[in-house]
Parts: sequence; C-alpha cells; structure tokens
Amino acid sequence: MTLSNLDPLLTPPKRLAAMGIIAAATKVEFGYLRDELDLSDSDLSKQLKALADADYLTSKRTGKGKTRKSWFSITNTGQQALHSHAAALRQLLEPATPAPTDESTLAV
Amino acid sequence: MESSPSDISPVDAANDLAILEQARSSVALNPVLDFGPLWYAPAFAATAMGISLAGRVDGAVTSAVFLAIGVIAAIAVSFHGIRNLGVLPRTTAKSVLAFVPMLITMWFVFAAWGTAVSTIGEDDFVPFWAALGWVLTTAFFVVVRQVVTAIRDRQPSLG
Repeated sequence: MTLSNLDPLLTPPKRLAAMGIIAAATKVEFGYLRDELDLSDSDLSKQLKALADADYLTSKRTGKGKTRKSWFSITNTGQQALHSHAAALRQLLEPATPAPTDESTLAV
Repeated sequence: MESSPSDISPVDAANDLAILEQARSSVALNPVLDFGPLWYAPAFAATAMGISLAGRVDGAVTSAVFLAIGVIAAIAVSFHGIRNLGVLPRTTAKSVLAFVPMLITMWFVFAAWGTAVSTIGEDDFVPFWAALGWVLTTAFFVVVRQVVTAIRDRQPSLG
C-alpha cells in the first residue's frame, strides 16, 4: 500500500471529517456541518465546493430568505471514494508483509 | 517511484480513521444527545399525563381529551423539530441503539405517572397532585438534560 492509494481530495482532516459526517447521514445541513467542524462559512464552503466539483456530493437548497438552507448528500462516487480512502488508511496501519525468502519459495 | 510506509509522515492514518469514526458517531448520537426535538415527545406526553390528572376532576372523558391533545401536540412538535434538525442520520444499528435510553426514560415517566394516577382517589385534591406532578416531571427532565449534556460534552470534538 502506498500514498498513491489515498485520495488527495480527502487528505485534509476537515474535509475528511465533513465527508465522514455527510456519508453517515441521508442529508446534512450547512449550519450543522459548520458547527460540528468549527469552521467559518467561507472555509466550509471552500471544502464542500472541492468535494462537489469532484462529484462526491450533491447539494440542494430549500426555503427562502432567512429560512434558506443548503443540504448536502453523498453521491455513489463519493461513497466509493471514501470507502477506498478508508481502506487505504487501514492498510497503511497494517504491519508490512515480509518479502518471501528464498527458503519459503523453495518450500513451495 | 513508489513511496514506502516511511514516506507517509504527512498522513496520520490512525488519526484520519479516528476522524471518520467520530464523524459517524456524532451523526448517530447527536440528535439524541441534543436535548431537542426528539425529546419533545416524551416531555410533552409526560406533561399531558400531568394535565390529565387535573382533568380527572371532571371525569375520565376530560382526562382522555387532555391526554389526546398532549400526545397530538407532542407528535406535531416532534415532527416539526425533526424537520428542523440539521442532520438526518442513516438508519444504522448505532443510530437505532441511541434511542434505547430515550425509550427507557419514556417508559419510566409513563410508569411513574400511571402509578400516581392509580393511587389518587376521586376525593383527593387532584389539581394539587397534577401541579406537583408537573413540577416533578420538569425537574426530572432538567436532570435528564444535565445528563445528556454531560454525555455529549464527553464526546470527542471534530472541530
């Protein structure tokens, strides 16, 4: 397993946390994400835009004026990317498999 | 050239996996650990039980009407509140299990009220018991609020 197996888009911790929250929910509102992640509106918007541009998220706006809300849901592409990224992270934590020795090769 | 595990210092895999796990937990638990809309139903229903005690002055029909109004109000307020929640968790074992303490609390409150109602005879001063019951219910939910807030504060923060 190498670093190339990690998704560079999901490497920033805040973005990863946002993806984790959105993946665990059917839909998540912008304000909830902002409060949970303790991010500014502009910073969170930037993170979410990067994910939406990669087709990891879809967004939907509801309401008007003060009741206007933005909701985010994960796409199938996003689910697969997150799953692969998490698998890559888990494999990074596994101890390296020792290379086969000549002796073990001969035994087979 | 392939990178080796020694090259991965910028990525803290253990920390990143912990972030993902915290994110999942927060979505499953937060709606229950927030003393918000999901708690309105038991709070309303318990209050309705208290009002229904006062209704016993005029008989069982009035009592049932009060209870029905309370339960309908509880359901309406809960649904309105749930719609205003910022997150709609997926149905997972964890998110379902998070409701168990709430169900136990509801059962406890209902059982307490049921016992209180059954022990009060027609000759008792029912409004007094209803007022006392309402105060006790309020105090009980204040304690519940303190407990769920304390549990929530112990959750690791993603921020």
